[in-house]
Amino acid sequence: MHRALLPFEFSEPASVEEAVALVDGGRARALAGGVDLVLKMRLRQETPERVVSLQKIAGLDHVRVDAHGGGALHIGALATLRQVEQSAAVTQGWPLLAEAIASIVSMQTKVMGTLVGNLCVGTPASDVAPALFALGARVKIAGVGDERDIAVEDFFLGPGVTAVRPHELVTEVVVPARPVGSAGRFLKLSKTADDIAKVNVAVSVAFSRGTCAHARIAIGSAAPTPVRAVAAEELLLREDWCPATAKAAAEAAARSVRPISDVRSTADYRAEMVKVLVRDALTQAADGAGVLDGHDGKEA
Amino acid sequence: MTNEPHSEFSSVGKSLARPDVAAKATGAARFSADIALPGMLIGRILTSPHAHARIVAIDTSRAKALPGVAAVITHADVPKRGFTRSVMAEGLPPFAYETENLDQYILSDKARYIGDWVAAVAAVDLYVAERALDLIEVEYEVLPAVFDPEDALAPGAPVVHKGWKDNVAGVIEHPFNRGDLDAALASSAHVAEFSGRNSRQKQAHMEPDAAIASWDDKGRLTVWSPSQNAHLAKKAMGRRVFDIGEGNVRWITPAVGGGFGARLSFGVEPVAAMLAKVTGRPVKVLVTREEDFNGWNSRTEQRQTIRVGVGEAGEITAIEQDVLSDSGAYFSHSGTISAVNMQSTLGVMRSPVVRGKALMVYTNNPTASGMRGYGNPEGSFILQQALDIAAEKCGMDPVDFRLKNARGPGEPSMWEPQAITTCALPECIRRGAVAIGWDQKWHGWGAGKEGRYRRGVGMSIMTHASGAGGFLLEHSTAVMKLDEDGTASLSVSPCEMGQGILGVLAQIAAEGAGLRYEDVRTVTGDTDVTLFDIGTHASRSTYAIGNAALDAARKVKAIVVERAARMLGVESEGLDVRDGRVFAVADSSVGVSVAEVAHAGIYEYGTDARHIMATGKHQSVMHCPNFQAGFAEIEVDVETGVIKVLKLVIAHDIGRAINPLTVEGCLEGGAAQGLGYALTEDLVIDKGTGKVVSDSFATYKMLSALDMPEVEVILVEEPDPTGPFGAKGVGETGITNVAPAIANALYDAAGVRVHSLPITPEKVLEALRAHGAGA
Ligand SMILES: Cc1cc2nc3c(=O)[nH]c(=O)nc-3n(C[C@H](O)[C@H](O)[C@H](O)COP(=O)(O)OP(=O)(O)OC[C@H]3O[C@@H](n4cnc5c(N)ncnc54)[C@H](O)[C@@H]3O)c2cc1C
Repeated sequence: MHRALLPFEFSEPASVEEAVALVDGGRARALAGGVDLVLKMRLRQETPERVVSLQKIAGLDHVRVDAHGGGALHIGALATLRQVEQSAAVTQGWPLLAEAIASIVSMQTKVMGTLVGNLCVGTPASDVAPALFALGARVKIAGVGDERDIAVEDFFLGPGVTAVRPHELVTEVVVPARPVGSAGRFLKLSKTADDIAKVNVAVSVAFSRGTCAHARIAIGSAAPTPVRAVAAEELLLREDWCPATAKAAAEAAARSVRPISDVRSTADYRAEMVKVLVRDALTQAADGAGVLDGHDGKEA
Repeated sequence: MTNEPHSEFSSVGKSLARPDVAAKATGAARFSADIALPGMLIGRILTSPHAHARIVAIDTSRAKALPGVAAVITHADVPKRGFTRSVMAEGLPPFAYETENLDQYILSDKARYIGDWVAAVAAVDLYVAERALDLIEVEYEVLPAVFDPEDALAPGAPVVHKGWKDNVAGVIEHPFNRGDLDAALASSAHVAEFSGRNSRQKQAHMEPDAAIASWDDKGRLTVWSPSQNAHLAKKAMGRRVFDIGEGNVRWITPAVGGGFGARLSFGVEPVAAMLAKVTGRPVKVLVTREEDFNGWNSRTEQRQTIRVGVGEAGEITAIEQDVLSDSGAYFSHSGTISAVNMQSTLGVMRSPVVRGKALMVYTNNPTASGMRGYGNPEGSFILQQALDIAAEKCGMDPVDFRLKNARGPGEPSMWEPQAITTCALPECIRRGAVAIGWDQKWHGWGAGKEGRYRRGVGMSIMTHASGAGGFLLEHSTAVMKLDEDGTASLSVSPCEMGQGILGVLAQIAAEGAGLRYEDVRTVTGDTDVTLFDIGTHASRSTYAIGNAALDAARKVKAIVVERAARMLGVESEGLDVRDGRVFAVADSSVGVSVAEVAHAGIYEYGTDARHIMATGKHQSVMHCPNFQAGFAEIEVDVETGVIKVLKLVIAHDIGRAINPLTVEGCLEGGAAQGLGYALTEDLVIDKGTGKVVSDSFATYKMLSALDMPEVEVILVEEPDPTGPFGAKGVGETGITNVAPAIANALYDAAGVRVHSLPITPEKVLEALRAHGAGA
């Protein structure tokens, strides 16, 4: 165990092209806010020889709505969690995302840490990931001379492993406009207010004549990656909405997770809590979408 | 609830600002790690990656060859003198000190836990020191290890200490055992039993361990470190670790960032002293938070069973306590904490028959030590649930059951040869019950609550020492001197570790001498200046050091009055001193300022010069027990097992609150730490490897302000004739009642009990399942 970092070279490229040429995901690592990377370097879980700061790259710190591209939300790789949480566009257009970020209470983490960095850590416990899953976000990845664009579900490959390859960088996260009449809910269980989730859940639903017309359920901290509960979503789209449907969907969701026991909780507890949280989140989101009032939510 | 200031006093009873508050808030305060001496080296320690391993060989040649490295030391370089990390043990009477195991060396020749100290480096800076650690090559022969105290007792278990036949580190019979337990339990109308264990709560002081050591050309050692008991540390260093005598050790205590009992033990001071000796230069040894979590301090895990016998009328007939303590790799505080556990746990209720026994066992877990409450939060978690079970068996309200059976004035205190002088416990119980709304909210046993969210109330009571009189060396000497301008220096030796003792002692001394609070400076932190004192523990500083300060202050006042009378040409009998002025009680216009008296004493050109000063002393074989009642209201979600604490009430028998704000802060801080102990704080050790898994604040979860419920503090003031202005101790107490009150509230809410701390949602849900309730 050490107090000091091992020596490393520090680069501050001015463009994505230059940065992509430098980072290799192993010996040369990108640094955004440094919240995760610097801590891991002190603990020697990461021992890069070169640290490539993205901070000097212009044009990566945006949080904006693209009026021409169907009203999608674009979050640049240097946008901090706090910036996203406080953006009026986000709180009005994608409150689920703001709600998920609000559950991270460490202000230092949010003013230093970026949303993209949070995803790139690749932890299944990310609070941001389930919200982005539920909102159908996509991740833009720049490589040497090319760019690809993948669904956020395809970004997480395993604990600490993402789709980012050597000589690639995430440049943006794009969140499509919210389905008409949809409402979301993010719920999280943790030991203390400031802890990482034991389990977290994000749902987004919309209703048409008493049945779900849109349903997305995502669960964090209960499998090697955040997961979407597709079987539960299908059940919701099939069945009439009622408390029993929410319960059945929650049971189905619990079959999509593979939790483990660790310092934060046990596998059994996590599996049980997936049921409780998914049911509660669906019920509260349905309430938000107006279904409990007898409306179909179209005008919400 | 702040009590009204007492108008008969100028300083006492007022919530005055602490003298160190500005420096702490602005960052001006200098902690041990902030200090830099000319020529100083940085020291770091190499720790063992194995829980149990013989060190076959250590090759330090590559580390020594690294430019900038001044020394690399191993077990071969340190004195072959065993000591105990518990510096507090120096205060034990000799017969008791003999039962302390002197099983520790500056560096080990055998690793006994992951994190044990194997070698140390001194280098020009931190970077070089840490590179050197990486270059030390240790050949280990890994040995079978044992991590559970019950496994450690099994025949054939790996033996942690060479030359020992087994892992039994010690056995303590409670000194006040009496009566025939079996007969008493057999003839009791009911017997209640509860077993369980506490977690290894971490002191988690914000300031990580650090120490600087420097030897002068005459072989005298100066140490700078956050010690809670510098005078005893000075002795332990001078007599046990080295053989140089107390006079050759000077101990300086800079600002201290929290102690909570951890600093009653040696931290890295012996290593710093050894490195400084070898290099001939000052050395500052630093550690990481992870090393601290993997290291040499935590609450001791105790597994206990308590049985309580009760008669037909609900009177307690017998109490039995059985304690199994996991000492970890070294003995440290595990003996004394087990003894104090029984003392306080068995000392709160009246019982004709008492039986207590503790067994301390070595394992390959990190060394445990003493922590705030020192056995009381461990024992109370078990006893207070056993008491509720007993009350239920008799069909009595827990409030009434405790009021009926708790000890009161004139009865033996927790250290039995002594009698309780004052006891406001009944008043604490009654006022606490009102504050929580007990009569409205407690619906009787088996109230059978329904629904997802179930509310419940619970309570707990305790007694704690205000000083160590009876069981440890207990005395303190204060020196107070008046400067020419009428301001005073009070030289005392508490440890100011955030609790506000410097201000409290200044308030006592100011009141006693008739000075203004802002005119009294509390001088401390250097054993070359202060007189002997056993340090800050046993909730003693306000009581014991306060008595010494008051004694000195009253003597100073007497001298001032005597000299003022001569200056004024009046009889001294009719004079009093208040707020820095001497005046005639009969006619307050007749008077002179203390400053004039003090100045005239020093600038005296004849034969009557006097720098006004006095020493004051406290010594006692009494520990003036204080008492407290705690109440909790909770709401448990039976689907998630999550306990939401709605309110905590702490009603404390404070005698007199010298500074009500400080006392409230102390109890609220204790409640926060108690709530963490109850619900989240857990030093998790991997059962297979002995590695501490929760070795950072990301995994060892303490509560933050966001998690705190409303805490109502009630100060019940019934001045004790033996305390300074009637004050009793409070420091450790706020932590103790929280976990048992919550545990009892959980039973009231949902009919289940959890047998180990912390009471996590996982355990609550499991208990609900077993009980057939909940989701
Ligand atoms: C005290 C604390 C509390 C926390 N609480 C929570 C919580 O409650 N919930 C939660 O979800 N998270 C929590 N976190 C995690 C935190 O949100 C992330 O660590 C942070 O957002 C990471 O962002 P960063 O910009 O600092 O990343 P960095 O540390 O700079 O980078 C992290 C990793 O991503 C890589 N990387 C960064 N940017 C890019 C890019 N553009 N392209 C490719 N790779 C990149 C880096 O190379 C590195 O491997 C907490 C962290 C701390 C320290």
